[in-house]
Order: sequence, then C-alpha cells, then structure tokens
Amino acid sequence: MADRIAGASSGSRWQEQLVLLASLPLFLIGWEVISRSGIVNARLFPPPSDVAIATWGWARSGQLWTDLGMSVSRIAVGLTTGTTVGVAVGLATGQVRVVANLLTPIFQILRPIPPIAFVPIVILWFGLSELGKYFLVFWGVFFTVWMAAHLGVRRVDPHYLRAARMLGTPEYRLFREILLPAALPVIFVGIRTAVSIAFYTLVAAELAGTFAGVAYRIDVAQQNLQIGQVMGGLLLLGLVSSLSDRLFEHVSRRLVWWS
Amino acid sequence: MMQLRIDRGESAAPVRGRLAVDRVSIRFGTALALSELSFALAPGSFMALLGPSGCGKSTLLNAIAGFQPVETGTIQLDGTAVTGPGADRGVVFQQPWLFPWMTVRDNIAYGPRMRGLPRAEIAAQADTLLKVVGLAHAALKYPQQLSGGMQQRAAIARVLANDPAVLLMDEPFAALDAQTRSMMQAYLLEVWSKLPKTIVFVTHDIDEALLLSDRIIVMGTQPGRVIADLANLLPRPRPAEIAFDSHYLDLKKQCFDLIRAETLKSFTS
Repeated sequence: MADRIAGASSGSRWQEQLVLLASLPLFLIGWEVISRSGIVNARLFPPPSDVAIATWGWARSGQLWTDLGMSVSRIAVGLTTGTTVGVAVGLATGQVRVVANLLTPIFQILRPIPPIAFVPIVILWFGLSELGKYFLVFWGVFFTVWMAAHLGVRRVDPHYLRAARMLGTPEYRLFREILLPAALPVIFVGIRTAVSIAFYTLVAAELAGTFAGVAYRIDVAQQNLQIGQVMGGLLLLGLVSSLSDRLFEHVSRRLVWWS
Repeated sequence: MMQLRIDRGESAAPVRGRLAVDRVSIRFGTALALSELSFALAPGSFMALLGPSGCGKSTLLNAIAGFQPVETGTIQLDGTAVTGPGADRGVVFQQPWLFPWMTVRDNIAYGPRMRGLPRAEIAAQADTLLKVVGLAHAALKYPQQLSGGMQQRAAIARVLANDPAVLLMDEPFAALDAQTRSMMQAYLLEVWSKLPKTIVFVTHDIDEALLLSDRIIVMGTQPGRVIADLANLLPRPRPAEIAFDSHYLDLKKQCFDLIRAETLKSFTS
C-alpha cells in the first residue's frame, strides 16, 4: 500500500484522494442497504440512519455528554496516575539492580492478570465509587508503562554513557542529561500503547457497576434492546480512542523529536 | 587556549599531553588481553596504533580513556595517574555517538557546560569550534540530519571543546566511505596543526597510519603487546603521491610483514 502511494503518478493522486474520501460513505451506504434489504434482522443490525437518530437522541437528552465526560475523566485520571507511577518505578528498576530484583518477580506475576478479572474484588474494595474505576484503568496502564520505562533505561547504548563520562559529566548528572533523554523514545511508545489499553480497561471498569459512562450506556442500551444506541456507543468509543491516539502521537512527535 | 601553532618546531611545542603507559596488563577472565605493555608519548605527538583485529588496540585505548581498569601497571597523563574517564582525554569512537536530542552546537557545548564554565565562554568556544570544523552552517541542525563525515567532525569538535591534553581515536574513519575518509584524514591533520594535541590513533589501515602519524606502534596478538615501535619521519605535508615514495613503501612493507606474521599466528594456533 505504502509503496503504491509513493509510486503513484501525479495524475492518479487525486483519484486516490477520491477513493480515500469515498471509503466511509461507501461503507455507510453498504451497511444501510444490507440492513434494509431484509437479509439480516434490522432490529439487531439497524442501519446507520437509525444509529444516527438514536445517537442524536442520546446527545439531545444531554446524557451522551455526561457519559462521555465520565468516561474521559476515568481515562484521564487512570492514564495520568498509571503513567506517572509507571515511569517513576520503571526508571528506578531500570537503573538500580536491587530495586529491579525486588519488584520484577512481583510485577511479572501481576502483569499478565487481565484487568477485567479484578472487577469482582474492585467492587468489594471500592464499592461503586469512581476510585474503583480509576484503579482498574491505572492497573491496565501501569504495567505497560513500567515495562517500557524499565527497558528504555536498560537499553540505553553504553556508548552514550561513555561519551558523557569522557566529556566530564559528573555521575549524578548522567540520569538527567543522558539516561532520561535516551530512554524517552521507548517510554513514549509504551505510553502510546497504554492509551489504547486504557480504553480496553475502561470497558471493564464501567461494567463493574456505575451510573454513567459510554461503555455503561452500551450495556444498558443492550438490556433495553436499543441496538441503535449500542452501535452509536461503540462508534463513539472507537472515535474517542482513535482521536486520543492521534493526539498523543502528535504531541510525542514534538516532545521526543529525536526518536 | 585556542592559539594557532605556526609550525611544528620546538619553539611552539605544547606542554600538556605527556602520556606514559608503563607495563600495563589487562586480563579478561583467564585470557591475558594485554601483557606488560609500555610506551611514552611526548606532548603533541601523533601515534598510530596498528595491529591485527583482536590484538587489544581498543582495549588499550579504553584503558587510557579510563573505561577499562588495568590489572597491573600504570597509565599517567602529565604525571597524574588515570583512574577513570575524564575531560582531559577526549575519545572519538568509530561511530560519532553524538547526543541525538541536542543540536550540533549543544553537542559541542556539552563538555564545557558539564564542567561549569561561564555561559559566555561556552558560547564563544562552541562558535569557534563550529568554524574550526566547518560546521557553522549546521550549528542548529540535529546530528541525524548530517552526513556520516559531518557527524564525525562534530564528534571531534565536541571533544576539542574540552581542550583535552590527549585525543584518543578508535578507528574514527573506518565506518566512512573511501572518499570521505581521505577528506577526514586531511581535515584531522589540519585541525592537529592548529591545535597540537597528543593523538593516539587506532587503525588497522596501514596507509592511514603512514599518512597521519609520526610514530607507529605495532601490536601483536595473544597476548596483546608491542612488537614494533617505528618512527614515521616522512615529511609533512604528505600529498597522495607520497604513497610511491621509497621510504613510505619500506615502512609499509615493514608494517605489513609484522601484521601478517601476527595474523598467521592466530590462524595456526
């Protein structure tokens, strides 16, 4: 695909743009036709027009904004805390062998447990409070970011440290001047993965009992057989997740220009 | 500090950069990498360290740089024992290892900044060196944006910014193409004529050693040791045609035979 784009002549470039622009409308039209044709049950597989109407109603009632606000705030809190703690712990385990030996075995046991498996105990610990949701997103984010920061520091090429030392860098300044900037590209890749993981975990968190949130609304709409809203909710999750990813990529390209 | 040296006569002889390596041995596990290795360099001399791969040239350079502790023996620079890396010994590696998050200018200013020099002095020093290495136009670029030769010039400038007594160069041009390499050699001699540092130049390229140095130490393998210490008295400047000079050819043959004997030894043992 990429080499075809690179190899495209200027004459066909606008055609490619056209195909790109037509992609989503064609998908929606196809979906609409199939749903209305009677091949499938339109109640369970409503056409996009019904999804749009259901989503519009959701937005007009004001509930969509509450749901979105709650979901985004859970992502924001879980992602910020998980990233902060993950980077801090990862930088420590990456540099100090004692800390790494102390924590790595524990983390390697806890890391593979899917966050959704924690839902029952999180309800017992935190009830239906927001704290439980933050905890689950944090859990999903932390290990990914920790791993990236840990490996990021470990894999800094020793030549950079040699160069810094022979140029007269005092030992206490090596971290700030060399290790951190050299590890940052890897850390940012980890955080970007964590942004996606935060959205996966959000779904688990909102199924753990809450009163608002996009994933929660999908669950409620499903129980009421409001499939239009279910699909609207799914598309909304996809949209917000992809926007967050793009935004993060944009920001990180500015922050770690040397990667 | 940046005084120009008019000629290579005694009157302008530099006072820093006396390097003394005395009976240095280094062991890796049970294998003896360097055995009782000794030599002394006068300030401002250009020594090429030749030898087959695996003879410990880089190990020796790392020991002088302070990256590699010695088992026995001493290394002294201007009477002070080497105990670790320091700004008085600038190292130029085979790869530039410039810091990719800094501009070329910030890379060059890095050493003086670490040593806590006043800002104005750091800036002036960086600007002077950018001119010396011909990179003034690339000052605000990042290393990734430069060609291999330009990166290596920046790496040399970064080291010179610390005004080291010794330059330790570990096959600095080996990764460059032939054209760039010969330009870099000429350029290094030009810089050396302006800033006459003591230079230890590791290479496995006999022609490179002959063109650059005024002394050639040939190392042998198993264990790494000095097998010949040759004066290279070819007149400077040395144009490309010097490669046809009979003294040049004699010296080249001598080096060639020594290295081949060592290489054969490692094949037959």
